[in-house]
Parts: sequence; C-alpha cells; structure tokens
Amino acid sequence: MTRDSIRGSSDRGILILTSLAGSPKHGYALVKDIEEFAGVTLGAGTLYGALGTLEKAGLVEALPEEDRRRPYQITPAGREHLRERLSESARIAGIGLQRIAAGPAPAVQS
Amino acid sequence: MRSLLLLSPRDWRDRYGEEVLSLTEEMIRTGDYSPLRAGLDLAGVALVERARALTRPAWVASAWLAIRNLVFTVVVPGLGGVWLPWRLLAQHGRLPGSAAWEAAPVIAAGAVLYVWCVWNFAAVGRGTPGPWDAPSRVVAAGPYRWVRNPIYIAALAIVGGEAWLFGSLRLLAYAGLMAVFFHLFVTGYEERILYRRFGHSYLDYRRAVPRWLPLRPRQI
Repeated sequence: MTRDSIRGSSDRGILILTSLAGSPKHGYALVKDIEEFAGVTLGAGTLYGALGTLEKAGLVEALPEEDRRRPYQITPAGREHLRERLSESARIAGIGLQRIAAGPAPAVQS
Repeated sequence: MRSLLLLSPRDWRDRYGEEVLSLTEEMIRTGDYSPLRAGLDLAGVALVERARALTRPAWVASAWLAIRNLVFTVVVPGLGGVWLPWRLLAQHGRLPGSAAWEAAPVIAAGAVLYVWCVWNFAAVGRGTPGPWDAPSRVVAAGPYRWVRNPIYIAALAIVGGEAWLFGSLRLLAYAGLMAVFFHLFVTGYEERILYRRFGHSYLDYRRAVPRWLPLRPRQI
C-alpha cells in the first residue's frame, strides 16, 4: 500500500462532515474544500456514495436545489457525531505522538 | 457515464444519479480528473451500492425495526403498564373480582394511541420510543401534530383506566407518581436532548405544538 492510498482510505464521512461543519455546500464545492484542507480529491461517485450514507443516518440533509445544484448541510446530530469522532481521533493522535516522541521501542528479543 | 449508473440500484440512482453525473461532468471539464478515473469511480460506487442493496434489502431493515419496537413494547410498557400494576393489584396471585367495565374503553383508547405513536415513530423516523434507539428526525405526524408527548398520555390513560377498572387507590397513586415523573423527565431531560439532537427543526415543532394538552394542529 502506498502512502497515497492510505490517505485516500481515511474516513470519507468525516471529511464531508468536517467540510459541511463550515457551511452548506453542493457537490463541487465539497470536493474543492476537501481537496484544500485534506489534500484528497474525492471522485464524484465516492462523494455521493458517502453522502448517501450520511443522509440516511440523518447526519446531513439536502437543501432545496439552486441553479440545478443541490446543497447539503450538516444536521445537529451530524455535528454531535463529528465532535465525538474527532475528539476520539485527537485522543489517539495525542498518544501516538507521545510514543513517537519517546523514541523507538527496544527491539523484542526472540 | 450514464450507462455505468445502471449498475447501481434503482432507488439510489433515482435519488443521486443526476447529481453524480453533473458533478462527474464538471470535474472532467475542469480537469480535476480523467474520464477513465471518473468511470472507474462511478462503476465502483454503483457496485458498492448494488452490493449493499443485495445484502440488506428494505424488508430486512423494516422487519428489524418492527422487532425492535416489539421488544420495546413488551419490556417498557409491558413492565410499567401491565406487570407492575398487576403486582400492585393482585392478592394471593389473583386480581380483585369486581371490575368497572366502563373503564375498559379508556384503556383501549390508551393502547390504540400508543400503537399509533409507535407506528409514526417507525414510519417517519425509522426508530422506536426508546431514547437509545430514537427516530432520526423530528416526528410531527399522526398524534404528534396535536401534542408533543402522546405516548406518556397513552401510558397515563392505560394505568389510570386500570385504576378505575379495579377501583384501586394504590394504582391511582402509581398513575399520579408516573405523571409527576413524566413531567420532570420531559421538562428536565428530554426536551433539552431533543433540542441538542435536532436543533431548529425541534424548536419550530415545540413552538407549534403544546407539550401536554392537545391542540388543533396548525401548519408547521
């Protein structure tokens, strides 16, 4: 697995929720925003696959169409979900960074 | 590109198909990705959605929802509305002999109201009355157009009706305690949780529909 493919597999739902937490966006604005803050370009199908799952779970909702584009917004339940998931990631990130800073673990003798 | 969408299940295609296609075209036009990558991406998602629809058909989700509601009904109203009243009434394992049968319609009305509420929670919000498995959106249909807490009213009708049926003061006191508990629970906990969960859509609903005393529905 290359570095890029690892990054690409990071949770798409979280990327979408993070983007929508700023403001409601339609598909193309979502792709561009995620590209800017995460460095991943989601494909159209990938984006709507994840968006559909989030909508079914009540974490995002579609707004009325404008200029033939449909914006999406995060729901209060979506904010709550995002807060929980990100706090958990931050906690794990903290532990990981601490361990890296502490230097390599001694090799295990077999 | 459009033909690739035929791989996806119909309801997904109807809902997202046009949006996906127009975004795909936009991204190819602006050079965000190549037509080849766009095609692979579309086909991939279409197949994933198809697999999802095959492994989890709609009727399985509905049956599972029905089971969850049935379990909730047996456990919560079953314990609080049948088992506990029976324990309070029964002496030597038998119910009092005489009964005021004119109370039966009150109990029946409570039971019908309860079923009507559960039906709306399941149909509109795909959830149960249990706070741990609640509907995914504000349910403002059926009895919820008239009053915000009809399940609690149904519970009080059932237990109050049982107190009347058997002329039991103990059961009446139990119903009174339940009413106090419901009020404290709703005002002190549930309304805050619902606001946190649903935000403005709950506030709009709360403004339009009264908490306890049913009012003719307004447009919300």
